[in-house]
Amino acid sequence: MTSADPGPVLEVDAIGMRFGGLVAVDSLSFTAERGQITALIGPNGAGKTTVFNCITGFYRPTSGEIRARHADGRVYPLHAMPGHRICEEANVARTFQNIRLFAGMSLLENLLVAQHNKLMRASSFTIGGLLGLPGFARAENEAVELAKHWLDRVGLLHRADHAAGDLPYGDQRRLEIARAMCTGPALLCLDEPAAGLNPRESRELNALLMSMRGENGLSLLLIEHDMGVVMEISDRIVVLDYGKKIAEGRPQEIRSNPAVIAAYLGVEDEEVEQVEREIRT
Amino acid sequence: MKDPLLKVRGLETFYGNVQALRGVDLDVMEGEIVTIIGANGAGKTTLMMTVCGTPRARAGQIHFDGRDITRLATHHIMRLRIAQSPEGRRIFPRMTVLENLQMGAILNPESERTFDEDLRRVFDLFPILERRQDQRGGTLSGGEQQMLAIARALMGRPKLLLLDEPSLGLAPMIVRQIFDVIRDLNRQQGLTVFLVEQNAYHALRLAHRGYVMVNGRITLSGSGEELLAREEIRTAYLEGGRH
Repeated sequence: MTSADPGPVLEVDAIGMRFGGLVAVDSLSFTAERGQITALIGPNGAGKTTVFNCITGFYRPTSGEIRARHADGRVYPLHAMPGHRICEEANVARTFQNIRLFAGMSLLENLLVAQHNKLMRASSFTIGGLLGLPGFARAENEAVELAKHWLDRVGLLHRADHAAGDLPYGDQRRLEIARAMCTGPALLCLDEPAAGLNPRESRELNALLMSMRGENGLSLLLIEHDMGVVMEISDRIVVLDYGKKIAEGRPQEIRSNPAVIAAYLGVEDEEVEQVEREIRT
Repeated sequence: MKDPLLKVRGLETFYGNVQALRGVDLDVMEGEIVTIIGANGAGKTTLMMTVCGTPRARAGQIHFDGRDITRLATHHIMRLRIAQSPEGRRIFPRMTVLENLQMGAILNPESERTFDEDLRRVFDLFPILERRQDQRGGTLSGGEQQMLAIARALMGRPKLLLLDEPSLGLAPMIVRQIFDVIRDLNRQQGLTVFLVEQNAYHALRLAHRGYVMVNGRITLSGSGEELLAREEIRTAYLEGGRH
């Protein structure tokens, strides 16, 4: 046990993001706790993906600060770091709402690309690899083993040699999770991981994410519209509307929050509940 | 009995050597909402794409509106007024929202006369699109792009609307709105809809009839209510969530 509490894994501190005259995110602050699942929800166009882009270096916020904290106490100012260092040094990885895999590469190759930096160092920047030095062979074996481990975890090991672009949509989403995990993240940011999954597949995703939560201290930040996922697995939920935080709390609190119901959830779908009761009796 | 608007018989589609559709038979009658449900990778999207001619069927026939369209080029199929809101949205990212909607209207030969009215209708449906009409499509959020893809398809006043997972990436409130809109368009204007949807509760409640697809084959069909009530459908597609 460390003596001091290292604090939250992510602190978003009054960030703003403008595109010309459009204010996409407006002095937003929230934290993601270590070893927990934090969900970011809100209407379409509320600024959720923009927040992810600020955290992972795709955008530089117009104002405010974003800090990642490792368990050893080191702090990384994400708002001022280039994207590749955010992944490599601050250990923040992500998946994409509009899937961005290497479609022509195999599943295994996609996961090896995620470990490229590690392999480059092990090969002494190619030379060791060309000479076949044992250090590189070992590193390469480890990289393949890690890739296989994550392919297995997401249930895609049997398709390791298929092209990523040939996978159905839902499987591509799981492959993105595996690729992000191969970078060894402390914080994993998932942009709509359940989109395109049927209820049964969503439930399997829940089980996967719950098993990853806290494993080696992993923390998760999640954007998702599937309330069956959000309400089931989140420790905390942050709700955005028009770039501002309108609510924050535990799932039970959020579900009954009038502002969230008005802006996002809408009225409870009684009809569907009724059918559900009917077919169960 | 009237001929179906869309009639698919013995359809087989391949990706290279991998067979995706294995002899699919399916009918969509005029004025019907028909849905197809099934796990990821079952072949639902492939079926919808094959109807549009990309990829091409290797065997079987597709008839639309009394005409064999199996070998017709995709752009000719579209001219018969089949509009698709595809998986992954596929909007034109460098065109403005309005230009995207104009592209959708190309299907409709009378669009010069009806364009303003059709535009009003989709803007009423998705007010955010009206506010963003001069923005480039690519700057929209994911959910807004989904709305744009559906709106673009509606702008053509299609005879057959193909919707591939319209609820994908949309807030719960908007999902309900979209399903309400599909129901209204069907009831009021007789719009024929073929719907692929993971949200099986919503889809089966909305649809007149449904098909279940497993590994490229249709394994079950029936009215939406019948399918909702079946034990195997509940365990395979419905349990564990209703959103």
